[in-house]
Amino acid sequence: MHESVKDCFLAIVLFSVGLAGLLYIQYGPGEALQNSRDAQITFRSFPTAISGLLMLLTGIYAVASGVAWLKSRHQEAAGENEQAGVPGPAYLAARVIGLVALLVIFALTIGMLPLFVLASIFLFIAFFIFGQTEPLRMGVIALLGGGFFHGLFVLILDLPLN
Amino acid sequence: MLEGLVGGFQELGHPFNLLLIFSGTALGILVGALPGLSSPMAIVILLPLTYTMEPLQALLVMIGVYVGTKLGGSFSAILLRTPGTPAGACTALDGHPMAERGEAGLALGYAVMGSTFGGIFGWIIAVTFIPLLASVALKSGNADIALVGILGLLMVSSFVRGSTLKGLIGVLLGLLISTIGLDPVDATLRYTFGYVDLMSGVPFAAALTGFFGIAVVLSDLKLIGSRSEIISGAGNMALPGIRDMLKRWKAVLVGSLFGTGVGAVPGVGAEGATWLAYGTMKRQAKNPDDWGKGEPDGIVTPEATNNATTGGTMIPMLTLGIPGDGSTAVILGALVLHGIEPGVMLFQTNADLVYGILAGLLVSTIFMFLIAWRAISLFIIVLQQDRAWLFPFVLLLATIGAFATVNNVYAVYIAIFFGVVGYFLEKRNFPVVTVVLGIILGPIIEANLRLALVLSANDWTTFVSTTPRQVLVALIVTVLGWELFTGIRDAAAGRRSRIGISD
Repeated sequence: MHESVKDCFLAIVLFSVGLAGLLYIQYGPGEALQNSRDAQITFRSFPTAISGLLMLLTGIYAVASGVAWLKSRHQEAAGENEQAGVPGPAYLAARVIGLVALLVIFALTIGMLPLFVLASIFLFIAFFIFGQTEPLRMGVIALLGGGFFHGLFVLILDLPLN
Repeated sequence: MLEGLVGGFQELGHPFNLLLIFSGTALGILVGALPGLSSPMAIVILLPLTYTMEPLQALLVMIGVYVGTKLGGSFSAILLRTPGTPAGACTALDGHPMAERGEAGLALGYAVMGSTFGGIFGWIIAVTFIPLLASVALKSGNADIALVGILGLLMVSSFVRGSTLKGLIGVLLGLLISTIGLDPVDATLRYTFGYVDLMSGVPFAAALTGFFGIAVVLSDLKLIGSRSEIISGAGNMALPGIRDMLKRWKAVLVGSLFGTGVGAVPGVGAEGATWLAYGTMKRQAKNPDDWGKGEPDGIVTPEATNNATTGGTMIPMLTLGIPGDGSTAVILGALVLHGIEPGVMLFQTNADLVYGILAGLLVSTIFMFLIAWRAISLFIIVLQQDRAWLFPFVLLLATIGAFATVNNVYAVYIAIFFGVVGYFLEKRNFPVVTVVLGIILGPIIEANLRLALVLSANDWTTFVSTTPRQVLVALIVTVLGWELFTGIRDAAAGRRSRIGISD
């Protein structure tokens, strides 16, 4: 995907955030207190201004990215820029997705298993995602790490993670 | 003032406190030396470890990390040409060529001396101005604080890397996130969508963990597998003599002035200051052609600048409650987590803490010098290690750290969410520090803006009713006008250049 298209896509997402923020604060629940109804600025004012400005700036960002994309298409058609066909780093994307999934699973299982077990499993899988290939070394470091985290957060800092 | 400072040093006299600063500084040098790890990230993952400490002790560790990372960034810049921190990029220009011609130890020595002198200079300025500014800040009203906050956000948008447009979008995103939860004046719920957890707003530390911990690790995945080749002879530090450094007084002074001055501008930090100082010194040099080829002043200047910012950034943080950069944003968050309200009253209510922090800043700078001088070879060993073993630990520390902020798994989800958001923003070159500063300054700006209007019976002229406010408004208009002007000028230049090409 062309860089300008990615910019344009992000701009649209952020514009949507601004729009959703604006609509929710205007039409969503909430009632100003009696004494602040007389004020020029209420609880709606600040988020409204921020959402509006966010929409304005992300609109400019989207248009600028769109124009850049159209220009690059023109240049590519004229043979000035031949970037098509360059393979994207798919393995990086896979690693990012793997790590985020691992974090979510870790969050879901907090409290179900002792931190020592959870942290050891997390570290082992994370080492794998980070490209390590020696299972024995990974296992030993993961176990030591799990012990470290359990000792620090459960035994010393007394966090309710057990 | 002197009495307070002496008290601050007395607090530090406790061996455990000294050990904390020492450990923090050593960790900071290590973190700064490793490309991919950053000072805000290190401070974020330290947050949960400091919950049980006294506020000053927690802050001393963080100050140590903050000071140490400033120097650590130069190690990798000189030895690998890969700066450990963005501000270290400037040091690589002359540091690496010097190392390549067999003077790696001396290049490191110049970096250490420059950093130490810069740090001490920044400390002197901070100690001199903070009590003065704090007494002035005490007289400031709600309108002044709101205007300073707005100016800070505009400045950070203008000075951070990447486009101003992206900086401003980041700030607005942060401001919008800051409005989640109870409204600071009416106590009306906003954007909570019926979730009780969101009533108290987005957990600040969890958001920081996401933006500075998880997002950074995800962004740095591309570095994995790279094992760095260190230039030989790096293990022996060769400190330049005092006479040599005295000859370079101008580099130290210019660097320190830029570092302290620019660092004191809310939100700007060290990154821009190093380049400004380097450019100034190069233009005034007798042989500007030597710069970029291993000129010692080209190492001393950015390093003095970099460490002088530690004093500069303390000025807005300790007097106004406005962070100077990403690291001080996290330190400010730590203050809040320890039940201390930052802002104009901080000096009044917690003078001991402020003086303790200032004393810690100097002690940390001295420790930084000693550690780097005596233990450079240890850091070089770490520099050569594959980060794939380290990042899982960072990720897990960040995740459990997020949990520890509220002892609830909800904070972990928040951290993961902001980690993913931060990753995508980083990928599109959005400076995430702008989002974080928006989250921090949002409630301060909104509450003070509204209170100023309430107290003036909805009279908007209250924002220009005094000379300092008029100056602040003029600065806001100037920054906005300048950004608009440069934006239009750059767009026009781009169009002209395209026409020129097509002709």
